[in-house]
Amino acid sequence: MAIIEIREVSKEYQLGKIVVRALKKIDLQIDAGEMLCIMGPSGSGKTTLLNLLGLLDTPNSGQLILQGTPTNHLSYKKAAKLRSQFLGFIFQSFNLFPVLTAFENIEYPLLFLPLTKKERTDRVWQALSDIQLREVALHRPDELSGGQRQRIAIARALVTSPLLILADEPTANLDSESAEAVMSVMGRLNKSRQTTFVFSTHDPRVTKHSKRIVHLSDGVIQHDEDSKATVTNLLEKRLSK
Amino acid sequence: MMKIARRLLQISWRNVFRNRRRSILTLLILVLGSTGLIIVGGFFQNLMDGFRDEFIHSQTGHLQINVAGYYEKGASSPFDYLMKDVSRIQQEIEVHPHVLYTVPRLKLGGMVSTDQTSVAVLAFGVDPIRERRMGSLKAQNAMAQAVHICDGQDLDPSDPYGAVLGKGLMNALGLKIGDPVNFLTTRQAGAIDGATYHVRGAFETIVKEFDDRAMKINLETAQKLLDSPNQVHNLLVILDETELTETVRAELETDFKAKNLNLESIPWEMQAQFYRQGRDLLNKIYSTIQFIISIIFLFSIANTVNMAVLERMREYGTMMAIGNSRGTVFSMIVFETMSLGLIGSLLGLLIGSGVSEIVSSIGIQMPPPPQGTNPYIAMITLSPYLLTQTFFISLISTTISSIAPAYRASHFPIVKALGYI
Repeated sequence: MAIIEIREVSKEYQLGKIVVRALKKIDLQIDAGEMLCIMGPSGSGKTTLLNLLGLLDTPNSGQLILQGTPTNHLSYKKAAKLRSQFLGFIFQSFNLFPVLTAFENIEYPLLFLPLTKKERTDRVWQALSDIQLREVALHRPDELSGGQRQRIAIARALVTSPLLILADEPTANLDSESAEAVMSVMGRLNKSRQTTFVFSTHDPRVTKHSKRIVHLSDGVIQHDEDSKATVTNLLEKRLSK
Repeated sequence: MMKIARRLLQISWRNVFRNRRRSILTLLILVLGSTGLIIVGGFFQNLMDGFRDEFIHSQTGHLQINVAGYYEKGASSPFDYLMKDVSRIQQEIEVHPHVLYTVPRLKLGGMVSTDQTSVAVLAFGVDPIRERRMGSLKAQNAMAQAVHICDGQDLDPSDPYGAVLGKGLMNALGLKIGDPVNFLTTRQAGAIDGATYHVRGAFETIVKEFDDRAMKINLETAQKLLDSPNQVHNLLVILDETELTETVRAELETDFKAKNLNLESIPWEMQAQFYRQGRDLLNKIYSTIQFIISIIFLFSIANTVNMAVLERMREYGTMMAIGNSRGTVFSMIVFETMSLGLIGSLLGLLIGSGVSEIVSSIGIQMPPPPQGTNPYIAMITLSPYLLTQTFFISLISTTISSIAPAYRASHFPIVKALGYI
C-alpha cells in the first residue's frame, strides 16, 4: 500500500534572474516498509524531492498524496500537524537542539502527541535501546561523536513511530565507520519495525542497505530499480571502464 | 499545551546562557541603562523632595486651615476672615493621628519705615515656639532648617517688640541687628496704627521673593495691633507624612462639617505654583531621558537578538520541520529575550541602587536652587515607584526588541531555514 505518492510533480526555483527547474514532472510511489535510496549527483534534485515528500515545501505543479490525502493546498498549521503525526526527519548536520540532552532531544517530538509523561519516557528509552545508546541519554550533543549524534537524530525521528522517515544525506558528515553504523541502525529498524525510510545520498557505499534505488539526474528519474540490479549495473559500468 | 510550553521555557532559559558573551553584552547594556535611569530619576526626586519640604516648612505647612472663603477673597478683606476660638480649633485638628502640630499665623499688610526709606511689607504675627518648630525639618536623616536665621536671633516670646525680617527686606532697608523699625498697618475699623519694633534677626527661606518682603513679629503683639485678640487668619498644619496630605485633608473637612465649623483646608501644593512648574519641567526632562534610554535598549538589544536568531536559524527550521507552529518559535525567541531582560532588569535595579547609595553617602554639592540663596548637598532618593518604573522600562524595551527578529525567524521558509548558514 502506498504511504505517499507523487504525480507529475515539478518544482522550480528563482535564483536571481535564472529559473532553476529542480524537478520535472516526477512520478513516484513509496510503499510501507520500503527502504528507498534516492541517488544522484549534486544539483540533481534529491533534496528538493525529499523536501516535497516531507511537506516542507510545495510543488509548482503536480500532486502529492500522503495516506490518500492530497497535500497541495494544506495550510501551514495542517502541514505541521501531518509532519508531527506521520513523518520523521534526519538531517545531514544532525540538527539536534544543543541545549537539550540526548534524552530531551528524542522526547521533543513526543510533546506534540497526546501521551502521558510515563508513555513518553518509555518510548524514549525504547528508542535509545533501538539505537543502542542508552548510556548517553543525559549527554548534550556537544558531548557526543558525529555518529552518536546522527543515531540520536534517528531515534528522534523514529520515536513517534512515523509512517515515513526522510533522511537527507544522513552519512555525509560521518566517517566510513560511523556511516556504516548509522546505515546499519536504519536497516535494522526497517527490518524489525517495518519503518519506511527514504534517504538521499551520492555515496554508493550506503546503497547496499537499501531495497530500492531511484536515480535522479537533472530533475528527472533516470532509473527506479531494486538495489541488486543497481549494484550489478554499477559493477558492470566499472568493469567496462 | 502545558508540556510544550514548559519545554519551550526550558529551552529558552538554557539558551539564555548559551552564548555567554552576547548575553553579558545585553546584560551590560541593561545594567548601565537602568543604573543611569535610577541615578537621574533619584537625583531629580531628591531635588523636588528637598524643595517641597523646605517650601512646606517655611511657607505653607502641609495644610492651611482658614475661615471658609479666605483663600479666594481673604486678600481683599482680611478682617472678614479672622478665625475665632483658635485654641478649640487647634485641639480639634491636633487630635488627628497624622497631625503633628498646628502653627497659627495672623497676616498684616503694611509699611515698614526707617529714617531713610519705607517699604511695603507682609508681616506675620507668629507663635515663636511653634514657628521655630515648623522651620526645622528632617532631611537626609538629619535635622535641617527650612527657615534659616542668617543674622542675629529668632523671635522670642519674652521680647514682644522684637521682629525678624527677611534677608532681602533687611538689606533693602539697610538695617542692622538692634535697629528700630516702624511698622504701620490698617486696623479692623479702618484706622491706621503702628508700633516701633527692634530688629532681632534676619531669616532666609527657599523663596527669595518671600524673604524680600516678609517680616515676623510676636502673635500677641500683632493681635493687639489689629485689635483682634485671640484671632488668627491661618492655622498651618504639619503632618507626619507629606504623602498623606490629601487623605488628612479629606478627613479634616468631614470633621469640620460634622462639627459645624465653617473652615476650609488648602493643601500645600495648591499654593506651590513654582514647585509644580519645577516638578513638571523635571518630569518632562526625565521622560525624555527614559525615552532615549528605551530607544538605546531597543536598538542595541534588537541587534544582538537578530544576530543570535540568524545563527540559530537551522534550529528554528528543525523545530518547524518537526511540527512546531510559527507561534511556538516566535514565543520561544520572545521568551528567551524576556528572560534575559528579566535578569538584566533585576541586576540593573540591584547595581543602580548600590551605586545610588554610594553617591548618596558622598553627596552631590549643588549650587543654590532657583530663587534660593544657599548651596546644598543633594542625594539620590530611591523610591519603590522609581525602581518599579525602571524595571518595567528595561523589561518591556527588551521584550519589544525581540519582536521583529522573532517574527522574521518564525516566518522564514522551513527549507531555507534548514539550509541557512
